[in-house]
Amino acid sequence: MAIEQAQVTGIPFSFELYPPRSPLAGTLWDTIRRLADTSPEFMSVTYGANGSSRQSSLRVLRHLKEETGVHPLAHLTCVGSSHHEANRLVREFLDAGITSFLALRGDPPEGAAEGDDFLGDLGSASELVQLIHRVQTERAQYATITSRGGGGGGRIPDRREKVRVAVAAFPNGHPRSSGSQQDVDTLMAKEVSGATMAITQLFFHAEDYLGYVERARAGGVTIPILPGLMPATTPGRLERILQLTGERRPDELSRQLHSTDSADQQLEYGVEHATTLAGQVLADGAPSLHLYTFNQHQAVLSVLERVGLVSTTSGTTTTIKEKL
Amino acid sequence: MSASAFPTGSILGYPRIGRRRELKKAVEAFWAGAISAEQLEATAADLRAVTRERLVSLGLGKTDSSIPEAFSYYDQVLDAAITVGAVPTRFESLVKADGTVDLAGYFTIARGEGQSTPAEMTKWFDTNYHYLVPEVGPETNFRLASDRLIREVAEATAAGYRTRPVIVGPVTFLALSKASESAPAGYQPLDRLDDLLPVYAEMLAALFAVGAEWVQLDEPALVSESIDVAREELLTATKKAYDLLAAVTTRPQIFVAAPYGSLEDALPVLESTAIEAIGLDLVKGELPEGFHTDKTLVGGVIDGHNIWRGDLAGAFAKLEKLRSSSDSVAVTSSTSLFHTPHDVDDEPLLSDQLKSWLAFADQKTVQIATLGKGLADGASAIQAELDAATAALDDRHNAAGVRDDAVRSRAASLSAQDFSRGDYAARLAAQDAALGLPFLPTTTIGSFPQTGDIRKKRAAFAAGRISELEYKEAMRAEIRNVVELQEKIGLDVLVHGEPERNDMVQYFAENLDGFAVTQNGWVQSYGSRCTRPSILWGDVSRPAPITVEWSTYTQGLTSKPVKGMLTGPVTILAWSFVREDQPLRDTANQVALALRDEIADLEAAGIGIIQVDEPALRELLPLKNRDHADYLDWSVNSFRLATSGVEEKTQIHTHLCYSEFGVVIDAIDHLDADVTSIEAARSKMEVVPDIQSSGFGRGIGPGVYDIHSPRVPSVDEVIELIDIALGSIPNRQVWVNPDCGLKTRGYDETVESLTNVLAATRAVRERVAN
Repeated sequence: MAIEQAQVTGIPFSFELYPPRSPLAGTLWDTIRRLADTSPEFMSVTYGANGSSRQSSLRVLRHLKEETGVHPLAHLTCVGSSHHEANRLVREFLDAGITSFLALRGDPPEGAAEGDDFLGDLGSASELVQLIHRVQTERAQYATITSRGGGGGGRIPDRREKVRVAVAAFPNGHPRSSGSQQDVDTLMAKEVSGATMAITQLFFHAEDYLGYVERARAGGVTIPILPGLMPATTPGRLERILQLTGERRPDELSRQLHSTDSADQQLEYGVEHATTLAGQVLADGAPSLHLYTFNQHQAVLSVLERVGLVSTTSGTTTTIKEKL
Repeated sequence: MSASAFPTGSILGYPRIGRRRELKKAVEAFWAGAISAEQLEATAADLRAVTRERLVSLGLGKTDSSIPEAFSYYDQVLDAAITVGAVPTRFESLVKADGTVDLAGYFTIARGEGQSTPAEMTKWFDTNYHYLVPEVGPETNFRLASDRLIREVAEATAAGYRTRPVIVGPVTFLALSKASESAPAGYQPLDRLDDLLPVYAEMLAALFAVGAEWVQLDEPALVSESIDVAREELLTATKKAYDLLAAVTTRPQIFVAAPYGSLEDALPVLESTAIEAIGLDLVKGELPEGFHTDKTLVGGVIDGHNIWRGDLAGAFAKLEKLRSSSDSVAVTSSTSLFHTPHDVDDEPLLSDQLKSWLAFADQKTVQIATLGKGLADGASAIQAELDAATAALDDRHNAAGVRDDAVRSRAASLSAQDFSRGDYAARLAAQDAALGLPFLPTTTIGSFPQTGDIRKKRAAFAAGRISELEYKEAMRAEIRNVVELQEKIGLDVLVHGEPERNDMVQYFAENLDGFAVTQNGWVQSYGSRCTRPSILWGDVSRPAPITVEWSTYTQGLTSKPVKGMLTGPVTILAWSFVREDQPLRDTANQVALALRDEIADLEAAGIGIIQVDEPALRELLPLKNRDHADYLDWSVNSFRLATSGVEEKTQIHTHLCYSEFGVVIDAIDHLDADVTSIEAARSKMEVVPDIQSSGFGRGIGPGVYDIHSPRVPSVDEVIELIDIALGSIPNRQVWVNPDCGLKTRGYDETVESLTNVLAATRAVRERVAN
């Protein structure tokens, strides 16, 4: 049964996907369709280290753009690239019609440690932000824009299409950061380099996000800072996330997830926790919600529904059960 | 009829045995003839007075019916039977001219006398408590035959209290009864409901006359699907019973409590009667959805069946939700608190941190009083207590030992192979070659008589009065005796006799990480018998070998194979207080991995047969049928995980000491033990047809010697039992062994009985060989 959902409030939201590891990702297209039906502001697609999943990312981005009408946003990392390579990469995405990016420096490749010489020509996300703008400026005057549907063909843009470049923000400090002031300074530098918005790493405590936004505003940051939320719906995923991000453990959620082996019950705990968190950050001024989906629609859609950002006619509950 | 409101905070029941097991000691002194009935009555009255006073000091109201009047000398089901005159015919002589049974008679029904076997004992729902099964037949003369409860209420009233009498409800009483010996085939005790209800009605009136404003009728049968009565009939009986009792003109208000699970379709039935309050178990059971009533709903949100402090804020949230079902909501325990020990503060040896995570009966009573206050005055009035409980939960969740990464990553990396021993035919061939056992191999179940001497030595060592060296030598001397004895009798597979073990679970709990042992944490198991379950609080692992030293010492004394003896994961869980912060499956697998290590060490040390006992496999079976499959899956798999690390030639035994084989026969088969011994002597091998029809293909030892009786079985008797087994089960599979361990028997009868068992076995072997 199709879920008929529609955005019911003015508050925007967005989703993050990762490219499928295998080409046989049948359920992903269904998930994308269900997510797209809610009219998100954009959907972002991650990018494997060293471009290992570049083609796969591009395929999902194109699918979003061509089949769903949802605005795609591409993650890009610059780790290990020369200027020339990075330039070509950005151009490839722009040629595919992708005009929104999340510029990331990227993690050290496997086996390398912080401080090793693995970065390549671009030393920071800020440099990648600048590069994206530069490439767009250079190519815009020659580009045509393919119109969707219609008679095909292209037209010369009336004016230069603006690219949106998002950057990452770390409410609880970047692992490489020396302190919260440095985190704010880094974000400020990204804004100065041309970032148009920031998306936070996932967090489990509202005060972490709200405190960070307050410090950033006091430090002069003006771009929107989107809270990144992930409904943690299994104890294994929670543990892994905590390990990867070093986030503070959400004690109650952690207790709940560990207390049962019922997938139904775990989903309920994860969704309820994320719903509460979303409600808290929206109440205190968050501009929108960015949801990490893990390529599964049921948990994030339930959160949006409970927060009241989408309405459901019928069938959502059935769909959730079907999927378990 | 009085119209006082149901108390906002109350408990369904409280431990009866006393903080220092005063009741046990007094009852046993009475049995031994050391004190008189009057002295026993006086001790019991003191205990009741102390309990009432204590409960008031913990926050229950003195005169608002919140204190349960729920004392029992032995068992609450026996109390109900005596009260309604359901005395088995074989005990008729105990009934006096005025129709009553005195204390001595009461205990005789519980314990038996001469040729009169005691009332049957069986498990109380899914707990470790055992009740006495009432016997009801056409001859049962229901009448109000005891005024004990009425006197106890009067005693409380005289002392300035207004308490709430508690009695097993009429539906549960009959549902738990079995047909008496003289009843015709197919007789249903529940058919006597019409005759029983007037007795309850009379009792209600009498309780009202002595000041009771509320009465609690316990109807746990309504939540169980393991009752031998069709659901429809049970619900019809419920409707009839409470329509009738509610119609009694002068009576206390009726509170029907349904502990141990959800009422489900029985809830609307109770709601349709004119009773005043319904108790819901909201720990095991669910909040009713879309249900509304004018009656008081009493939410059992504090777990009466475990010892954890738990999620107080979550409990309060459930009560808040319950308010959508009734305007009148009160709080209580999910079950009687008699499944828990008295007081955490009475445990000087537990760490303060562990204690801050625990709640025994006294702490749970305080929690309930707190929630009652919250219901009356709003959440803000108890916010500090809710926050403190949440902080304790978080502290526990993050404490060292509660999650041990090494244990977890090992459990997470398990594959199907770790749960399987492979083909049985190959194992059988390897074991036959390695062990060379005769036809009808003989063995015992593990323990030998625990003499006073052994107990004294163990106690002296525990108290530090003798050195480890001296203690070990004493145990080794006992082992030498036991080995010599077994060789003399001629047993084929020997045991070391387990002199070093205080208890088959506590012994392992003391030697595994993740457990703590209490000092005064006794709970009633049945009658005067109490157990002191260990607390399984953290991730379980085995810091060092436990039994290897004893088993290898024993094997060094004989050329016959010696069985290594372990307790299985399900039984260790069932007889401990188990953490509730993770699925039982996960905890069971951790225990299984610790045992797997022990088994590997035993095998490496040359022990070729290892027995892993699972007497509690049946005990933990959930009350709802829909939960059976999941339970049997994890319980069976934990046993397999423990035992599947060995080579084909190592023979795994298990022992299950009960005879209700049918219900779990598939599960027992799936344990995949090479040899399974079970209780069978008392029932004259009743279980054999079940084994035959199930197609059970591995070794099986149906017990031929009933160790629960001091009787010595004759050679002919044992031959008869072996022949019954051989008549249905292929010869190759049959083992000869007693019903259970010999720990509780004396040496004289043990030697004589085992000698007869061996003589019988030899006679059968000879006959079959010819």
